[in-house]
Amino acid sequence: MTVNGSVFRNYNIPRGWRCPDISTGSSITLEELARKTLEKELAFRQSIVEKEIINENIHTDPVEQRFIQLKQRINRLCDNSRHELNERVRENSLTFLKILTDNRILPSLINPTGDESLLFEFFLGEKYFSIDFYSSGGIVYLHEEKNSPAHVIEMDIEDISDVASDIMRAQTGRGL
Amino acid sequence: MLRQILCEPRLDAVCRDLGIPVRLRRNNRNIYNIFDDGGEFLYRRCPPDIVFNQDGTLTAASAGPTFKPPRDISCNRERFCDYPTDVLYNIKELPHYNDCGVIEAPIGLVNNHTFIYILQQKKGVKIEHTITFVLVHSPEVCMYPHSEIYVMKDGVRLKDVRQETLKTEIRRELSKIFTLKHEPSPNFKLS
Repeated sequence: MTVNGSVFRNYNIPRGWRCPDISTGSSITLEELARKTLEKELAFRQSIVEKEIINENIHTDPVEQRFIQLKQRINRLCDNSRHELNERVRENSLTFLKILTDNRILPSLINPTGDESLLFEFFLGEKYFSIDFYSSGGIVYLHEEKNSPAHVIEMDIEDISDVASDIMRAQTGRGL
Repeated sequence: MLRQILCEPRLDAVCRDLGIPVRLRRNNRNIYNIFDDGGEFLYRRCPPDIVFNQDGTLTAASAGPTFKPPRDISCNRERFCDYPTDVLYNIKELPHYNDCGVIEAPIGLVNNHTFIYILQQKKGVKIEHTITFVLVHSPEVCMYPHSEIYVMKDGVRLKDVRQETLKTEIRRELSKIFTLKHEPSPNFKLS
């Protein structure tokens, strides 16, 4: 596409002929309209390229990549009626997964227990953490260190970020 | 006793129809509650789609479907079995559980296994409980090796485990004790 007037020659459109510009309500020449259209097209293409670059960055971040995979896994498990997991399990576990990912923590395993709950497990050397999301809405947090009794805590979803903090402390070696 | 004598021949025919080998049938044998804690094993059936850790132990989540419900857990004791896979016989109806796996645990690790778990409630109150697994020989007409693991909480046998915290804890303990013995296979056939 050119804007030097040559493209209009074949249509017998006189130079300087003005047409209404819908975006501003005023009138502009055909050359100006063509230039504006071209600029818009280029801006649109540029935005697509930028979006692709952003998406590429997301997908190359291993934590983000794993987050997407685990999110899909949770949704798949909750959709499968065989596991007896309801919307509360989905909602609570996805909330927890988001908190974990924001803190750059990933669970070692996520599995249905076959007993109306979804279990997240974390193996950190001699420390073990699990969090169980039940269909009743109950959340059970268990943490255990080798040769010590397990601590089992009833949780509310509002306090779930405390679990992420515990795991993060354990991961950085500061203990509980 | 009289009921046992009168009913057992009829039930034995049921065992025959199910294809349960004679060696596994009760045949008026007595309960034998002496366990060799030093070398005898327990075998339990597990669903075909169970996930195991690399060291062969069950994942805590896999312990859920494997020990559901987590009380009066049925097993076969090694002493009266010829094969660990004897636990794949279905003593109620056909077909048998050919495609299931088998997990095992040394009786010494299961019987009287005691652990303490500290339950912290939402209000912050901490309660300490003692959980004990007690093994009993509980033969069935078609399965003499059948035994059960009773779950005792503070010395009282649990007939139902509804408390979610306790379910999570029992699953965790059992997953540490049982390991894979026979991998689930769709092609396995009981002899």
